[in-house]
Amino acid sequence: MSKGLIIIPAHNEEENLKTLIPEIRQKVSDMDIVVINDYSTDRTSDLARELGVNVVDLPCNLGYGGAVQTGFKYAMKNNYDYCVQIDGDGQHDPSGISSLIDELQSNGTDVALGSRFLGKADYNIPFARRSGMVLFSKIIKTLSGLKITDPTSGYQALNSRVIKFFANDNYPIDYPDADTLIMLNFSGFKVKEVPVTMRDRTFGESMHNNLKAFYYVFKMFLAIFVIVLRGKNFYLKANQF
Amino acid sequence: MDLRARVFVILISLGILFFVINLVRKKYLKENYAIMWVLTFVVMSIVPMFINYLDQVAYAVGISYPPALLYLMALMFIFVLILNFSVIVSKLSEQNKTLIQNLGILESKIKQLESSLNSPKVTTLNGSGHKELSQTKN
Repeated sequence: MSKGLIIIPAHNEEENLKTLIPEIRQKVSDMDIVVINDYSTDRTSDLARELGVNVVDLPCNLGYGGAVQTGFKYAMKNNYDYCVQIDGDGQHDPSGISSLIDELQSNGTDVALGSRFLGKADYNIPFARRSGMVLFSKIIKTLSGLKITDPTSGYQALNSRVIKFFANDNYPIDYPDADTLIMLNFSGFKVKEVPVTMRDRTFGESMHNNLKAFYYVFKMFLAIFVIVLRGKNFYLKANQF
Repeated sequence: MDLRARVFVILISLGILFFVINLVRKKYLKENYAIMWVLTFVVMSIVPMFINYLDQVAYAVGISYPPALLYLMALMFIFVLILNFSVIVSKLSEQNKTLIQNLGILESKIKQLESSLNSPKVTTLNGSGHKELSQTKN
């Protein structure tokens, strides 16, 4: 029987977790849940424990990617066969979990990526961010042939091979994005998008802000450039363990 | 360059060199990070003897004001030193991240084990040894 884990990275998400965890429990019954508490200053950790899920408290703030990677390490150490990563801010509708897992288990996909744009297109995304997404989708298509509509999605299901790959380095500390997808493709993993519903966040502040956007786009270009420089051979070798 | 000026520069360089070595001796500076500083000040204390060649080198690379070459080289050298620090910082932050992640995972495991030790069901099931453990904890 295969063992599945739901990873919830959370930084000050007390209010959102209150509704999110029971909602996940209602939709999925056969998976463990772990909350990666990225040094929250509110009651995120206590609340998650009261709700009966496992909690990993990070002693310093690592950032989104660092928290998610902690989840992958946790999954690897506890021998989980697959995991679903879902944001703690409540933007990812838990009803998508089952479709992500279906994709993972039925089609030999290594990474099932939740996309809010596949199928529907009535979301309010600021122009700047939307154009960034279109640009990076084009870059991904050119470099890897992958058709990705929502490269910034943090809603995904992974099998144990990818968990291992991400747990051993290979994961950015801030936000996984186009560079991570190209890297997965170069490493020989099969990535597929699955339509999911995403909602507006109910409480707390969003992690993307305009000041960081410039830095972010430049960092992304540099990251992609370096991945192309390293080439497929580098990643295929890195993946053989 | 005047002889007095050369002696002055050599003395300062040697002074700092001994200061660096003393830092290593007192273990305030690790050997691996001290090497580049030791080399720097060894070079600094030798360079004044050959300063006359500076003009020739400057003209050879097309710099008409020789001291500018000196400043350029010094600046480039400092950039390389700082770059080296960025490399070290990257390595340290990567190690730091790994430590934070593993510490978090270990702590969660300890908490799980503690709570399973404290729950009465497990204590009675596992026999006397475990009971003792949980009692010392309380």
